Amino acid sequence: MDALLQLTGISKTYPGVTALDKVDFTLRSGEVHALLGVNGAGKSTLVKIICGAEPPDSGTMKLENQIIQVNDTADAMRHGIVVVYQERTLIPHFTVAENIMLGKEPANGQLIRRRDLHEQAERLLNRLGVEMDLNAEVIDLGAGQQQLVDIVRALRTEPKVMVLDEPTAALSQAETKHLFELLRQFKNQGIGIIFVSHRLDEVFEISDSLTILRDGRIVSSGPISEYTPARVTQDIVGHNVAKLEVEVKSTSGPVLMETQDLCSEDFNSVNLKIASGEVVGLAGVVGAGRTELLETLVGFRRADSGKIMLKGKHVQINSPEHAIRHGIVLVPDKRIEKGLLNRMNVLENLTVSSLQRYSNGMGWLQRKKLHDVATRTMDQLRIMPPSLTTSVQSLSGGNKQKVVFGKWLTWSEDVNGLIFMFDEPTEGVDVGARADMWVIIRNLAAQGAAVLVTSSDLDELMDISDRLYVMRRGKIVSEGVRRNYTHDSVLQLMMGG
Amino acid sequence: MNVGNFINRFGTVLALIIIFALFAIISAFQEGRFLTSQNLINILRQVATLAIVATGLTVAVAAGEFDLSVGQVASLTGILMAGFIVRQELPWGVSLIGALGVGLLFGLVTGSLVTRFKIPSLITTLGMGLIAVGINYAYARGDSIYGRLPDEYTFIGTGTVGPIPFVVILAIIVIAIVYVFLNYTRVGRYILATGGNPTATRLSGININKYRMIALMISGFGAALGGCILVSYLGSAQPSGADNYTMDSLAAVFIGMTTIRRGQANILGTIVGVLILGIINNGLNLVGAPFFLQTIVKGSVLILAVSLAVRREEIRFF
Repeated sequence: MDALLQLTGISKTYPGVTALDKVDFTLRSGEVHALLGVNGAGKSTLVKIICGAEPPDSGTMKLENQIIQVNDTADAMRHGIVVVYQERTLIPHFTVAENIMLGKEPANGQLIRRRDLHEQAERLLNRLGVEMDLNAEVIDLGAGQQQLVDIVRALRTEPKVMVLDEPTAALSQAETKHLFELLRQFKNQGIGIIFVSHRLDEVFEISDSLTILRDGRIVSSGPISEYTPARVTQDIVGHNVAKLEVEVKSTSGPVLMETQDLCSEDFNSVNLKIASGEVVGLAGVVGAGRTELLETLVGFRRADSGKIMLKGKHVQINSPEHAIRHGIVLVPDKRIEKGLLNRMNVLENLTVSSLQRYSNGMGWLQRKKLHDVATRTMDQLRIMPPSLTTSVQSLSGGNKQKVVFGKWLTWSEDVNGLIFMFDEPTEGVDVGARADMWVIIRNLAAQGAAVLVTSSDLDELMDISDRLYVMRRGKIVSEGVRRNYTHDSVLQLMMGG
Repeated sequence: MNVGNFINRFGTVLALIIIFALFAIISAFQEGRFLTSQNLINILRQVATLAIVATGLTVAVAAGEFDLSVGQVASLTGILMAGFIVRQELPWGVSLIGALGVGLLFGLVTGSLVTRFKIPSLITTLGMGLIAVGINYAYARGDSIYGRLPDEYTFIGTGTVGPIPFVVILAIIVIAIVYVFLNYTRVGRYILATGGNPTATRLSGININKYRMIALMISGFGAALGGCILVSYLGSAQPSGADNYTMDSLAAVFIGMTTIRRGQANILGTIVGVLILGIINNGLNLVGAPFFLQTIVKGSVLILAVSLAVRREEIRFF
């Protein structure tokens, strides 16, 4: 097969980080090429450069042996390079047809020819072999269908290269299957597809070849037949994966939190127990209701029915403020949206939950004490750079995560008897910080806290947990000590396969 | 801090200095009335009331809320202040407390609507502004209120301490108090945190609704204080005498968001904004520019300042 898209010596530096370092990448026509790497390895930067969203510092890009210059995404589209992002880019109350033809509406002057629009959309669907109700408003569609609209729209210009960024993240298994069937059709039409994903099973199912990035460099690349899942993992993570030896305790401390038939629109009859001294893992696919459950346990969301018992007593938790008074805290996922005071500095972030303690009766802040306690937390967590006046926006993902967690260390030095919940604690953090987070989580349990962790990274979850709950579509489908499970058995429970 | 950073952070302050210098130079070719101590004090007097209203509004914007009712609330409280003294013949101190109380009440009602019923403050205060106008007309029938105001009260707006107008001193005190409040107290820090990221603040165990409420009450209080000072300066109350404060103080706060603590409503920035607006007003007047040019220039400065900040992705609205 011919090289369709060829990148040579692509480099890109952001202030403080080399995102890509002389990367070579070749995509052939009619192939699905998986792009793999941990968060921060350079995948998204490479995608941005290919689709014109960011200019490279150096390097050349060739499409069908012609050197091309893409200055923006419109430019890339003219060259036949399109991207389907993880997030939907649809107008909710427009119909499928209107969304597909958005920006290319057939019109007499300013007047849209609705019938032609519909016909053109229909012809496009037929050509692609996709079946959809063109008159449905996209807001009424499921995640898979919505994504399909985005994909169809991307394909209306008959592109040569299509980039799919984590296309299956929000899809059910059936939807994923359907998507893969379509991708195979597109492939047969000669389109080169770049497939960015974290899910190895899917990569092996759909890809013809793969490229693995680490720290901005290509570490390996080749046809899929040369790889095993083990080798891919090895290449993605690099050196030996920091494995944490966890001793499963048969006897943990007293149960600190227990739920009884907790229900909401996102989950159903959840019964779980967390005891002092243990790390409990909550496994499940995206959309299983894990985040919603955690956020309900800290009072950020309301449960419709059921009880939360703390140390055997029924309590009503109406707000995070309330939960925190009971010693329950959440280190949320999506730290930039939910965890950080983005315009404030490290000190202000580390102390925001502790101001009650470090201010006098009149409400004056005791600045010296705040400074001291924040310094202690910063040192303890090895936050880099060690400066309290740094704006949190400029920190790396791992350090941001430490700051989000650190506010609870500032809040209470003695964690014994407290309940900590972590939602995706290592999302988008580098390998070193990831190991740090694991140690932090294990230490909390060792000091007598009860810890509930949820992560999309199943290996990680199994490594750090003493006990596991598996959640599927809002229900706890399995519970037990970790050694009773294997990676595959949990995956099967998560998927319901 | 390198030069680029410095210009980013203090560019608006630099603009203030340049505007000031520009008028000083232009007026030097004319009669040179701009750069006299008399005129400089005059500028400060002219901006003092706006500074107080805008300072209150800064707290609301810092908490992530808008208050589009400050002008109408100031007009209403001004009318009430004068009316309480002239019509109800109340002592001026009692009248003042009453008028300020009305300002607080407006903030309280706005805050309740915003937090309980989850109506965006932009819409709520738009409505509350109209309600203030209605109450104003109901009370004064749309007329101005004239009458003998006590000397102690008119001193606030017209008196001087040495060469300095008392109102300037009052404004400085108010600014200082609010500055210290926002930066050195727990409640102030919570207000900033709420405005910065309400979700993260709430998950940090803070009752954000309480602080949104407090911030809106401070804004209402600032508006009321501004209204009362304006009446004390003018010696009478006009039914829509303070309506301009809505746009002027919003402009000042937005200009202020481009400097000092960029991207965040901050007191010192707001003061820079107030001074820019005040100097433009005064300077254009003195150099004999037609009156309509003032508002056009003010509007342009606002758009320019904010567009620069938005371009650098420091400010995001909505």
